[in-house]
Amino acid sequence: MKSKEMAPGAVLSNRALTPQHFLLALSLPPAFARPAPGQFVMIRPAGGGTPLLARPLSLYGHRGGRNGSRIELLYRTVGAGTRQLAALKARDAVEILGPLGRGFILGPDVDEAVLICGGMGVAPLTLFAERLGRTKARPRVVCYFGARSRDDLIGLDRLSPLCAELHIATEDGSRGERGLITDLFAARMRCHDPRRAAVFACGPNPMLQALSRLLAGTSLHCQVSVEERMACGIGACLCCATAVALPGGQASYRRVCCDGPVFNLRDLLWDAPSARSGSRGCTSP
Amino acid sequence: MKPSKPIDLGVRIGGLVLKNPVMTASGTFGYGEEFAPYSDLNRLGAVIVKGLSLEPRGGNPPPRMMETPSGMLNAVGLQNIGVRTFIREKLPFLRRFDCAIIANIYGETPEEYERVAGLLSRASGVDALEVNISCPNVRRGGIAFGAQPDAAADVTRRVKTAAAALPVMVKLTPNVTDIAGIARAVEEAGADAISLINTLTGMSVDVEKRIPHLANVTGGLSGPAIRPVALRMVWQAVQAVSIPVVGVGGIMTARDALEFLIVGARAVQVGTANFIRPAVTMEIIDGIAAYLARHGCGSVTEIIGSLKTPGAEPAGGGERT
Repeated sequence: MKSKEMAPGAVLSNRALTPQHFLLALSLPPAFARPAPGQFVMIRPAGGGTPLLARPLSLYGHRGGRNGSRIELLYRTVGAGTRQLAALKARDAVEILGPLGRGFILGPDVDEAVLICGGMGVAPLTLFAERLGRTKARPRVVCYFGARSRDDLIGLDRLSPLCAELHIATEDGSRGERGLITDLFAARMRCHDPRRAAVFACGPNPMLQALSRLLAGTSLHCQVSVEERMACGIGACLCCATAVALPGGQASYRRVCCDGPVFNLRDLLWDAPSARSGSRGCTSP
Repeated sequence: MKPSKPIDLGVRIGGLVLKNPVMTASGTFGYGEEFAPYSDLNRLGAVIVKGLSLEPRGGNPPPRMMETPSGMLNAVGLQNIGVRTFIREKLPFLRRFDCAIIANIYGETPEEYERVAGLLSRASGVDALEVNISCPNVRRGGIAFGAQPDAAADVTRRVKTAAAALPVMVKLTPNVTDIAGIARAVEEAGADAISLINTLTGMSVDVEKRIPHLANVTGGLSGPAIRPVALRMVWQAVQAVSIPVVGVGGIMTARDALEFLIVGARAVQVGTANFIRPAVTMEIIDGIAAYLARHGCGSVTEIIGSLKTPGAEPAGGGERT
């Protein structure tokens, strides 16, 4: 009856890119399916203990083979759970559930993929850019990457060769334009023809909300990856609710873990009575 | 681990016969289908589905969850698809499995409880009802009925009538001063069993932003943090009533489940642990069987209520029937 199970994983490496940012590589058994970009895993160190709950992290890299998969997760330490992950060492055992959720989908007529990454939102979009290069359509990849400062532009080396164009903004001006990435995108938005371009974004909620305002008057289609705190990752706990607009205009809650994490930006509601202040990238406490 | 001789794990909860004493707690197992890829539902004693109301409920705004030391706070607010959609769309799937199906029900008024119970009693495939008079995360109904013996008895009586032949289990809240009084009131009103505990009301604050971690401000605490409280209340309830008591609260392992059985719980519900390991109930069932084998017990009923309390009155004294 069982078709899926929690996979035992082994840590291959867990590299500190900065004091707060880590790149975790894991080896997983062959049962781990090939993930779609934007999908995530629930991960926790094996053996239980505190913290109790697994943490959702979107997939940054994946290489499959006959003997199993190698996956990469990019994360920032923001709380007890991610700090515990940061302490993992090579050969440590982890428990992995996944790949979970719905990822980014490239529409049939899209020949320009515009990626907007805010901070750690770069993780799922890098995997997406990598896969786009291997599709038949091979759309042109234009990327906007923003972060607080130069040191927070994590994963730039891997992202950069995947893009035909890369636009960078930092809030302190230490690299690229000074300001928010959404301002840089707004200034160049006319360069993207809605008939052939589609936008894919992942980043903090204020970035997604700004994007939502920018795109409201346009016909540019945009998919975004959303984050909420999760307990189970498989649709049962109903903790990761996010507000969406139904066709009739009514508000309804969807589960980020299995109805998302990728949603159409125009379906998301921003004035719902919730504290949408957190990050929607791949950071979770 | 396979036991060397066949061990009878079966228990009776009123008119309900379960193949083993392990159920999934309401709200932690969805409608069952979410867990079917990860866990063999055929092996479960019972699946208790997410609380059902007469009309669909949207639930509370996010954030709805915060992890706390050895536990989690949730304020989902009884989001559910409504009893009619459950019967039409979810029940047929669950019926394919060889496990008891228990529908957890919720109402904003006593009349709503009655109507939900009535609809489920006429739907084929539901084996029992669990009455939620203990949800701390909704403004109306829920805990409002569970904190007062009279109100709890009234809802129980109405559901029992509306449920016709279905066994009725009433889920109690720990957020009361006298659990024995509530348990007795519910028993006298005709409940076939009681289950406890629902979550403990709690709160958590983001000190940097000085805002509550939950949009609902308060939430229900679950997980191993509440297990000693749950165990104490189950032990007290077992002594207060003669109907079967089902133990719930922070059960993560077979040892945890055994604690509840030993103090007199006829069965247990596994909740938060499902979120962490979706197949945890399988491990718990196997672990109980292994324990019984190790202790030379032929039946799980031999350990139910077998607590030895030095110097005090025997707590349970074996399974009551």
